[in-house]
Amino acid sequence: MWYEFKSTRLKLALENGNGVRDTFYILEREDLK
Amino acid sequence: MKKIFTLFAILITLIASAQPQKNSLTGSWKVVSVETDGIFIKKENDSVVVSERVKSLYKTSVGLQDAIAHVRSQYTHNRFVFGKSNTYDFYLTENPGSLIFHGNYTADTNKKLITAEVTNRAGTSLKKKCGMNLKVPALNWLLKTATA
Repeated sequence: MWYEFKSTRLKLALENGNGVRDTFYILEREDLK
Repeated sequence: MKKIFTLFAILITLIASAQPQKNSLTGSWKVVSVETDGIFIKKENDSVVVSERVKSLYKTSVGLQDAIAHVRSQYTHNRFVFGKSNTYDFYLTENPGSLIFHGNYTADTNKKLITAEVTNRAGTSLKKKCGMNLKVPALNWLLKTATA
């Protein structure tokens, strides 16, 4: 893999079409449990 | 004895390869918390925090409750699935029938950018760019949406 995880959680920000970050997620891998 | 050892080694290898790697993007990701439109929802304890700005937008609590319900229904059950062969799928919920985007992603580690080319349910092709910010100790991704 080309990246390295520090955590099993993933922080994700989505931008709308105008380039504004408007949605922020914290995700968890569901297939590790 | 040698055969047993060989079989054991093969079995261990198969089990290990079947397990999702912790330090891999590959896999299915569910929402722990989400913030959008000034509304923050943490699923673990179903706590909701609303910014003062958003509260001031609603004269009655009914409108605000509707806004919270919208975030809860549209965002808290999302699934992001990154496949082993660079496939990318975005689902509205855990239901496989709720697939919104399907496509492939590529990663540019120099630019710290993932680009996903997807098709939505209506068959429209879209290009999504996902930037990776390594300044944040925990993994931090930026998923930038742009219509192709």
